[in-house]
Amino acid sequence: MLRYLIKRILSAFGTMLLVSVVAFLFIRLIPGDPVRLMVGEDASYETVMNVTRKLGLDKPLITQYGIWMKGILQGDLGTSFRTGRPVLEEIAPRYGKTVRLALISISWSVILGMLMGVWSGTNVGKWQDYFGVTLTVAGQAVPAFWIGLLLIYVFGVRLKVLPVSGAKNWKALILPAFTMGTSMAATVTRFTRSSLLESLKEDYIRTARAKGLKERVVIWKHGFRNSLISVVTVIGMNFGAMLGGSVLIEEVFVYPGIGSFLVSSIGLRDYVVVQALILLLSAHYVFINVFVDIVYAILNPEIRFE
Amino acid sequence: MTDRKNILEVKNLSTYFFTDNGVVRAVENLSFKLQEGSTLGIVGESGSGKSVTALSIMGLFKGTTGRVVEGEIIFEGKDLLKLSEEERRGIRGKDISMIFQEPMTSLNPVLKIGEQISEAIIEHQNVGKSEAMEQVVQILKDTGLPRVESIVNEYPFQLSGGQRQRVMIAMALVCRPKILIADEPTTALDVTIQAQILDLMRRLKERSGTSIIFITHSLGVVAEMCDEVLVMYCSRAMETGNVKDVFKDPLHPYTRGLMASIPKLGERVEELYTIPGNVPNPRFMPKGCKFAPRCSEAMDICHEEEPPFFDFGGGRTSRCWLCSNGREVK
Repeated sequence: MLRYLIKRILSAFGTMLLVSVVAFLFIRLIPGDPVRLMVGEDASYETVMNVTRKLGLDKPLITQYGIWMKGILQGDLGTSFRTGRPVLEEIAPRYGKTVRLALISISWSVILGMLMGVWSGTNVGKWQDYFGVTLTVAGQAVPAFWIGLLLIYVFGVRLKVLPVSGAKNWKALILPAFTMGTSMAATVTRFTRSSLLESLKEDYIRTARAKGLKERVVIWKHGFRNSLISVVTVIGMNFGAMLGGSVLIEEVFVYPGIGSFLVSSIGLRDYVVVQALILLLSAHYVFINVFVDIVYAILNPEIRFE
Repeated sequence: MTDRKNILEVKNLSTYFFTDNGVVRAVENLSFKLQEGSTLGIVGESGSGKSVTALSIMGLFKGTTGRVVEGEIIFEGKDLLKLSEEERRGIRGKDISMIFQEPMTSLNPVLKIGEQISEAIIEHQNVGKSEAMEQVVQILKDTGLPRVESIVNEYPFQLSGGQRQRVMIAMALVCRPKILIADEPTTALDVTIQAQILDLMRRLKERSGTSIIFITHSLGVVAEMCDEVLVMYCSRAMETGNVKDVFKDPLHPYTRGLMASIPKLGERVEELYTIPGNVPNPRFMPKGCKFAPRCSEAMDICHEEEPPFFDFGGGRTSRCWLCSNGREVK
């Protein structure tokens, strides 16, 4: 198990190295000169050359990449073109806000999704199930930004009960967290329902009932425990997508996280910031996957003992 | 009949499955008695309704389309079918418990063996976790499992099929049930393991006095394990009686056919005997006796009218027109 874990973590770092190359090249492929955007159309050739040299953009790509990598290994992500401040300082507070939003969103959506999934799955063919399935389809089909706009209109503009932008207090988090978690809640509901239905068909459920256990225990301890294994995969896969999707939701709610920061940095061709943010978002995907593998092993003893 | 009292009496039991393609009559008008401390064998081919009979007694139809539509199941003077689900739950696993055919899939893969057995104890007895665990260790030792102290902390996939079936037996017997229903407990096991499991069940029964309903398709197992036998065919009882009597003088042609199909040791024959034909499709049942189309002794009446039970005293009955010299039941 430990060896397996070390192997997974090492391969995760390999993936990250690959991502760093792609992120580095990708931003430089977009047309547009960051220096021109900084100094303006009317600046003299001299100024342009000076700034280019100062930013290190005159060096060959491979050297630029080397400098970047060397910095990362020393804990230095570089300096933002736009503000001249260290990227780490720029990202840190925004990153905290995005993570907070994502964690709140995933918490409510996973808990609610599992409860709804079990509720739906143990009432197959009854109104509870139809209700759950309908909500699920709606939650997955409706785009998040539209839900966001709808919520802003209803709770912000019409009812005037909740703030529609910013991140000043917990109230400001309600609408974006709801928007962000909707599709996750729907996905978790669906997978919990179907995978619970699968495990409730198993022989060991009949054994559990033959023991005279309470139906609540049969469902949660014997059925749900087993269905969790596949539900966790889905959660892991979607959590990565959720962080990527925060770009859109942060735009809609003018939320000061890394999503909206990434969009404005791409606009200004702030290479260093964009590189760092792509690397960060990819790291989430990769390490959430490692985390999911660990949770797997906790849930499934057969993997744990291999 | 002996003067032992009946611990379980099934009267006119009918259990149907209501599927999308119509009603499947899995058990039809079945009656039998289980005497205290004895072992009743229910024998028959696949699909004859043996397992459904067991599930009817246990009340384990949740998640299926099955339902008992008629009859009574009298246990200790009470009709189980009239009890609430909550009252039946109190009996399941405590007074009446069951072991299943598939030991590989009947245990929960993600829970430790000790946990799976002790939860039954905690559910039915007023004891704490540590005391329950002591009982678990004791019952596992009784089943002859090695290194019991470590097995309680292991998962099902770490055990062999025979070991898992021992765990299932321990789980079923841990609350000292009055009745144990064993649904083909050895079918999925290797022959040598089969013998060990049968031996274990016999030993445990002698010690605890539990009454057993032993479901099997093997007459050999019946001869070895049972006191009484019930032969089922097409959801119905065909013949009942004391094992010795039935083996010495089978009354029903179906029972005779089953016995002729057992290969005998030291006897080399060109071809093993098989009963001709197949079990009829439950949706297209023959009009008269359900066995008539496959019966070499069938008469005209057999195809026209289903025979009633003919009683020969001492628990011997046969559902066959050839036995019309007996006392007709109902």
